[in-house]
This record gives sequence, C-alpha cells and structure tokens, in this order.
Amino acid sequence: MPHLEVDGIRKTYGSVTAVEDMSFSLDEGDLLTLLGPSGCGKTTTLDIIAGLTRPDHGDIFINGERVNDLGPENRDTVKVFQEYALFPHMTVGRNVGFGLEMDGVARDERESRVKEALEMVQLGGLADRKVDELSGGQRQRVATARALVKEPAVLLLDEPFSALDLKLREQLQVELKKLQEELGITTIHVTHDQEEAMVLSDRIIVMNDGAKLQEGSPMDIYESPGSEFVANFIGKSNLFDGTIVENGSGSYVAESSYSGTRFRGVSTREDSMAVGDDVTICLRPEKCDMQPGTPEAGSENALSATVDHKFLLGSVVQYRLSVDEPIYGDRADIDFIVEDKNLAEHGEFDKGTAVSVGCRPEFVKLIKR
Amino acid sequence: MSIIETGRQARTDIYQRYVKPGLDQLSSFKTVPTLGPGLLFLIVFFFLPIVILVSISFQAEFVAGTVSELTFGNYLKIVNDQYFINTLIRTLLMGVAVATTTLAIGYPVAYHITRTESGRRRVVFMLMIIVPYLTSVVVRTFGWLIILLENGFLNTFLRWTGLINGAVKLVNNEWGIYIGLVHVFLPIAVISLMTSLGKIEPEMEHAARDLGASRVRVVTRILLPLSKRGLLGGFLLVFALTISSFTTPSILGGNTEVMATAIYTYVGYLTNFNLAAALAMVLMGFAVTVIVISNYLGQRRMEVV
Repeated sequence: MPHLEVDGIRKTYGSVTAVEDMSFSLDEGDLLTLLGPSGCGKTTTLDIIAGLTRPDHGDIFINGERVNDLGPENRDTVKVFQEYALFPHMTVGRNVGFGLEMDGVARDERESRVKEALEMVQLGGLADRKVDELSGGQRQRVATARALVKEPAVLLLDEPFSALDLKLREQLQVELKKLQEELGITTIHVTHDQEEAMVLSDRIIVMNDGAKLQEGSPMDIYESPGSEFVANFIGKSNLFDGTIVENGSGSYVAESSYSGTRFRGVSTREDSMAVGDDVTICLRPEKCDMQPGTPEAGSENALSATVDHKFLLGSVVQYRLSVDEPIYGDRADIDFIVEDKNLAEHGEFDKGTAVSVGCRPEFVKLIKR
Repeated sequence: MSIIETGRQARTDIYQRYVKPGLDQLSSFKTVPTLGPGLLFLIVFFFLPIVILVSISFQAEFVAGTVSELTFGNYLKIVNDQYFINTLIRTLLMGVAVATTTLAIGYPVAYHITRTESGRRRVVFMLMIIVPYLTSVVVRTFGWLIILLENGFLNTFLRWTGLINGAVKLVNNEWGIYIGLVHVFLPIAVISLMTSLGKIEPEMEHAARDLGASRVRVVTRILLPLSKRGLLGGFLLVFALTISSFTTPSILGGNTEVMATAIYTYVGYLTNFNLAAALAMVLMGFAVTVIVISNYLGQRRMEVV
C-alpha cells in the first residue's frame, strides 16, 4: 500500500484550470518533486494535499485513509512555505514548538523536542532569538525544523530554497536531502528549478498547465524526455523537427524536415513509431562531439557548423554554433549548443572554426509528436 | 592588501570623514522647512489655546485679557462634588465600552475586507463604511432617536412580537449614548484595524492551521497578537473621540451628562468659564494618561513578545 496516494484531483478557479486530473502515489521515505514553470499548478496540488485547498474532484489517501474531509490542522502533513511564514511575534523556539503546542504536547517534552529539532538543522542555541534577527538561510532552517519537529507522515516543501542565493541554496539542498534520507520521511517537493529537482528527488513529475506531462526518475526524465516541453525544461537541448524514414530494430532513422539530414536514434517513449511519424529530434549539448573540418556528404548523425561563441563554464567549454544546414527551417537565429569536457584531446575551437558535429545513435532522442 | 581593497578603504574613509557629517547636517536643516508650517499651526491653534485654558482654570473669575489671582478652587470644587465625579467616571467608562465594542464588531468586518478576493465586495463594504460619514452626525443621531424612542420603531416592533409589554428605555440614558457612539465610531475602528490586518500575510494563518491550530486558535495566537498595533491604535482613537464627543450624548443622553455636555452646560448656561476650563483640563488629563499608559504597555508587550 502506498504511503500517500493522490487520485485524480482537479481544481478550477473560475474558468482557469489549476490542476487537471493529477494522480500519483508515493512509498514511505520517497521524495517526489513536482517540477514545472510558475503557474503550472504544482503549489495548488501541494495545498490540496495539505488540506489548505479543497479539490473539486479526486481523493487523497494517507496510509490508505481518505483524508479529503480533514482540515489542515487534522492532517498528518506539514508544509514548509515558500517565504517560510515564520510567526514574527514569537521566538525561534516558540515558532518551532508551535505545532507541538497545538497538538497538546506537554511543555517538558516540547522543549526537548524543539531543542533536538533545532540541533538537527544546526541552529542549536538560537531558540531565544527573534525571527527578524535571523538571516535568510537561518529562517529556512527554522521553517524546516518547525515542520520536522511534528514528525509528519508527509512533509510538503513549497519552493523551499527559492529565496536564497545560489551557494547557500546548494548547501541547504544537500543538507535537506541528507536529513530527509536519515529520517526516512515521505516528502513532496515543489520547484521550478530543474537542478534542484535533480539533486533532491527520487522521482520527478513534470507539470505544465495543470497537467502531468511525465513521471520518472531524474535520470529517466533527463535521458528520455517524453515531449518537447520536458526536453526543453529539463537541462539544455538542441531540438529540431524531423520525420521517421526508417524503422530498424530498436532504433529509428529520422530525417530533418528542412535539410534532409538523417539522424539515427532511439525513441523516448514505450509506444512504437511508424515511418512517416513526425518527431522532434533532441540532441543534448554534452552528448555531442565536435571535430574540425566538415562531415562527408550524406553521412548520418553529422552536421556541419561554424563556431560563433565560446564560453568557459568552469569544467566545460560551451560552444554556440550556427549550423550550415537549415535544420531550424527559416529560423536561422537559433544557436546549436555543444558542451565539451574533453579539452585535452583536441584542444579548444576558436571562433569561426568550421566543425563537424556528431552524436552517437544512442544519444539521439527521437520524441514522437 | 590589494589595490582594489585599498581604493575601497580610502573611499569609505573619505565618506565617513567628510561626506557623511555634511549629509547629516543637511538632513537636520531640512527638517525646519518641512516641519515649519505644521509646527506653527500647532503652536497657534493647539498649544496657545491650551495654555490659555490652563490659566483660566486656575482663576476664580473670568475677565478676558486679564489674569486675576491663581487658585485651586475650581479643581477642589470638582473633586468634592459627587456629580462631577460621577460624570467623569461615566465618561471614561463610556470611552472604554464604546472602544471595546467597536473593535469587537469591527474586527471581523476589517478581516473580511482585507481577505476577500472579490474586488467588488471590498468596494461595497468600504462604501458601507464611508457613506454614513457623508451625512451629518446630527442627522444620523436623530435617526437613532426615531428608532430608539419609547414609541420608536424598535419598541413598537418588540411590543408587536410580544416580547415586551411596556417599553425598553433606550434613550435619555447611557444606552442611548452608547448605541449612538458605537454607530458613529465603528468605521474608525474598522479602518484602523484594516491597516493592521492587511499587513498580516495570509500565509501566517495557513501555516498555523497547517501546524495544527484550530480556527479559534489562529485568531487568538496569530491574528490578535499580530494586529495588536491596530487594536491599540483603534482603541485609543475611539476612546479619545468618545470621551470628547458632544453631539451624540447631548441628543441621545437627555439628562445623562458626560464631560463634554457638562462643560457645555457650564459655558453656555451657567457662564462659569473657569469651572468649565478646569473640567476640560481634568478630562484632558485622564485622556492623556490613558493614552500614555496604553502606548507604553503596547510598546513593552511588543518587545517582550
């Protein structure tokens, strides 16, 4: 039996559909991320699970028990709010102890559990501080402690790190992940930050316009994006239109709709494709190779291109290329991106260099449209 | 130390030593032209009249432009007369009662206005609050008279329902003043609370609910403490306005006097300006004391919590 089950929930505000037929389930100790652009319905989904919003349709089960009719105060879920929502008129200790106090936990036990929770988030000794004396990172930790101290069945995180700068965000992400695994607490996490989703999640659901687009492990979603939207949203992708011209065993050949260049690759979905199907050809920047010179005429999985810009991004060099063949149709302004880690092997390519860009068939993803 | 750091250090030094003192001085000069007109107005129309009032209250006779012998006589007369003591107590209690009632009634209204997502509903509520202010308080108060009199709407209605036989006495006593003033000052309480409640993020309430607080506890543990400033401000405002109000008590109170009507009697009918001035000073003294104490309590509470 899954620990949390969300079954066909739907929520509309007037004529706007916030969440459309959302279903998923979660085993105990798993961390699931709802990932999508702002306004995609992920926070609404979270609020419905928390009981802060009533769904128009659908059911929520926690440990097999239907909780639709329980108010937020009676549900075994706790949400960490995006701006933390710490109570400014209470000390850190009172904030963290608030949930326990509401549950009628005796003072002695409350105090020891608050102390423990604050130590867990490395804020031991700050119990008597006022909330407005804390830094952003400390506030985030207090919010986390306030939720964890209640030992909820399901922890709900609403963009918990979005108000922090990059370095701190990365640090707290790792800390939270460790804590979550240590405590084995079932967690739903909402973010628009795909890197954060990759770091934290056991499983990701990509959402757009209130609907679930794809569900899978971070690796699955990155390696096999089921739609152009997902390919674009998770990591960087070079995407262009094509048509299936050959159906081999396990692999397909697609022809660029504009240049006729042939790409041998794999399907990102279970269902099979037929000759003539329209696909989006997806090449990840780090999966492409570059060679000096131009490819042989008519060769598969190769494009001739010119280096426009070169950026050193620390461990990789990112090249922005203009492709000589019209794979983007009329839109010549789209850059083809290649990220290269093998600096030693062939050195760097300077601006203006003519190169041949290739990609091995297992890395060419053909997304059926 | 790198060149950049040295440069930055030098810039900070120059700023601290030469620029900042100049800026500070400039800002203190600026206060004169900005505060000036207001200050002048206050001196002419507030401080001077009060000084004159104080001096009249310490004299036995009133002759314009002259100062006769100073005496505590007027104040002694007030302290030794049960009528004045009763009037003072009635006035202060009225202030507390009206302020508390308007805040209690106004709180849910203010909450609703700040939380409703319907813009139209907010406008309707705001209009309901403001529109009565477009009518003269005299007219509104006579309206209450029609409702509350022994043969007024309310008593007629109550007799019709059979709940009462004779009449409930609702005017020419404290009840009349109380009902009238609650109506007059309710909008002030609402507006004062709205400012305060509007600053409380709805997330605070959601977070409290989510952590296990019932609706009642959200009010007592989150909303009330966080709107303390609005409550205090509203209380002081309505209290001060109530104890100094004249029109409503004089129409709905009948022979039941409050300080303002007593002062009017002494100025208008008995032409004892000196006693009236002393009464005014006593009233003001109590008002200021209440304001100072509650302000102090409010400040202190704010820091402790």
